[in-house]
Amino acid sequence: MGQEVVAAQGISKSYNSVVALDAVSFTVRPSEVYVFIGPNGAGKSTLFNIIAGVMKPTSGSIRVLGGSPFDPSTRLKISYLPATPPLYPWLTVMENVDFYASLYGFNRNTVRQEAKWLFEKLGVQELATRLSSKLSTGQMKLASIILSLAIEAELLILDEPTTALDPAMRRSVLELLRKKVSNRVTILMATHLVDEAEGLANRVAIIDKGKLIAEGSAEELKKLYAPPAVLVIKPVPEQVENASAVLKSRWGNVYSCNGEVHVHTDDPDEDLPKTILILGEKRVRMLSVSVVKPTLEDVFLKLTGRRLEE
Amino acid sequence: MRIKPMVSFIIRDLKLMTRDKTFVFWLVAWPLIWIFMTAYIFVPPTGDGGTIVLNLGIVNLDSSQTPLNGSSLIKILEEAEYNDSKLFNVKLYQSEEEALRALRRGELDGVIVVPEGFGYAVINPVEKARLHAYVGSRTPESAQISSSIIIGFLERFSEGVSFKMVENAVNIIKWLPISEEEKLWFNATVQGIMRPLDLTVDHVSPEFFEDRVRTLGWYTIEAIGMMFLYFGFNSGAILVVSEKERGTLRKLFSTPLTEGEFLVGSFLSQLTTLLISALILILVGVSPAVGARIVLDPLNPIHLLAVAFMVCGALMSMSIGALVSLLSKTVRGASGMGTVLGLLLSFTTGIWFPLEWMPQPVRLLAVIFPPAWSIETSRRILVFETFAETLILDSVKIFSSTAILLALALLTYRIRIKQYAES
Ligand SMILES: Nc1ncnc2c1ncn2[C@@H]1O[C@H](COP(=O)(O)OP(=O)(O)OP(=O)(O)O)[C@@H](O)[C@H]1O
Ligand SMILES: [Mg+2]
Repeated sequence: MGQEVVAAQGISKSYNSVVALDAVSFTVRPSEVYVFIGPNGAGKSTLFNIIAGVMKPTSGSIRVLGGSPFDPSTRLKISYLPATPPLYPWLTVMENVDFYASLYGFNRNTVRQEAKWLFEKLGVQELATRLSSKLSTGQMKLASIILSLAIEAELLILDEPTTALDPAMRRSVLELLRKKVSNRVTILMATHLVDEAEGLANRVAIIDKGKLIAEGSAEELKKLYAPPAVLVIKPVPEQVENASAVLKSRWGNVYSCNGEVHVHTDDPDEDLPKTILILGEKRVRMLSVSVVKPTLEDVFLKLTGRRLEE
Repeated sequence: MRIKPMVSFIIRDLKLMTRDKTFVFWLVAWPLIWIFMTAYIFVPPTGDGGTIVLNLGIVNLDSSQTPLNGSSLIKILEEAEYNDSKLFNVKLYQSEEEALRALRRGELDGVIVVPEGFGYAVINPVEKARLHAYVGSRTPESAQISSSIIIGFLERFSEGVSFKMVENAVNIIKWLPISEEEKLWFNATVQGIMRPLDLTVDHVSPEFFEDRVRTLGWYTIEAIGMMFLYFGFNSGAILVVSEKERGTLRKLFSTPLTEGEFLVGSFLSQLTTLLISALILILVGVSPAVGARIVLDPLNPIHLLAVAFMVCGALMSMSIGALVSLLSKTVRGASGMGTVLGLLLSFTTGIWFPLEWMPQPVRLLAVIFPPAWSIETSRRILVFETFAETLILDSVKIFSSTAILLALALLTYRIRIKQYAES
């Protein structure tokens, strides 16, 4: 099916001495939701700035929708939501919508119509006429989401669209994004939230320290990098390190983070009693022990040795 | 280059101008404060409020029924005028003591006592007519002014009385058996003794006061020049960095907007802001509240040239602001530096204060500071309706320096956009 929406080849970007991106290559197909997950400073925003045509890479090549993002006619088909709300504080939200629409040369009323629909869908009609400087953090985020979605684009680049939103609002926004995809829009998104990535993405890319370390559908990634099950042990706080050390002497895939010890296992039925037994012998007091299905978090843990979320 | 995005920049910034009080202050209120200060403090209006009116107490003890008596003196005092405005506020008192008390209380500037029989004494060649005056002193300066006005007036009056007496004398010799020629000669001689010097006095006020309306026109354009300088510097300095700090720069350049459209759009919108403010200042300046005289005939090509010079002044200020942006990477820094530098230069390059007040080395600044030329040249045309013979040369200088500064500004902005977008 058709050509790629984004084709990045060996993209590197350095800020003076900081290497933000190191030879990143990937492709995004039409009507796909492609989600980048990675910790703070991984290079997601830098990458998005390059794809949106705002920033030139130090090296590597980038094609978007068959053209260069540094060509204005390509950008006509892109709508970018930067991580920080790009609002003019002295304008109302709708005036901000009008302003950006005019930069695309789009008909004001068409874009307004779409924006109105989005305001209604999210149940925040009253925001339209409010001054942007008078909005709360989450409302600013909502306003900039509406600003970006109201533009009829073929590619949406969304940098952390749901941070600062409450859970209900986050669900509504994700719902809207799904609707966009069913209208043949391609979405490129960055997030810190693995469930968001799993719920929405066709494919996920894991990025860390400027490197793209894994790519594929959530299922593929889990199959490749996560075990069938994960034992989650929560010892009393002062014994976390002790417990982790004890378990590491028996199993290879043991990770401790945020007061929990995760043991990746192929056979939970056998390993669960064993773990409890060993920890009991060493007099480790446990608050809870459970067996859970792996998530992308476990993939990330496996790949980087660190956790992404709390 | 597309028109639509550029228009939207203008609309965007006009909304800022009307919604942000600090903009209204710097664009309109602050220059107006200077214009009004000029109109009411530095070049105060003349007329009732401007000239001195002395409060004069008169004690009229004269009851003579002669043509020139105490009552006619009062009438003369009441009608005395200087430059179409009354000289004295005459107040009558029954007794000398009463009048002097008022004088001591500071209610009066002077008291004139007309003694009994004054009217007869005037026409009686044997008796000398007397008047006595007291001069008050509310302040040392006022005492000096009051005494010279009162004494001056009384001297003129005394002279008038002398003429009356000469007339009487001449009436007497009419009956003597001497020739007409001798009579005329006699008449002239007596008058000559009385007034040996034919003193004529003309008042020459400095041009400054003579042409207040033009002076105010001058200062109105100066206030606009000053506003162009600090506001142009300021807005030119923050043009790119403010988008960066607001987080809008990257969003802007992720749309089909080109660098050229962004720069031309932003520049035009700032220019519009400056010109609208200038128009408001001119309208207030020529309104009766200030009363400045500024001539602008849209059919006169020289006047249109002057308007073009004003536009150049605005463009050059903004361009210099662009260069100022190289000095700071924050909005606060750039804006502060732009405003301070703009104010400083408007004071030192003859745009606000006269250049003659500046020490020699500072005056050099005006020679090398192109916005000062454009303001200077345009106000000469718009206020005094004159222009130097070097008008063509001046135009070339102004237009070419505008072009050069604009080019430098665009270059600076391109560097800045690249820096801010890429890092
Ligand atoms: N303007 C800049 N100047 C210098 N270094 C920068 C700049 N912007 C980003 N960096 C560095 O580049 C790296 C990648 O930053 P980037 O913002 O792309 O990460 P990110 O994945 O978006 O992080 P986050 O999840 O926190 O938004 C970081 O180490 C960051 O410190
Ligand atoms: Mg980021």
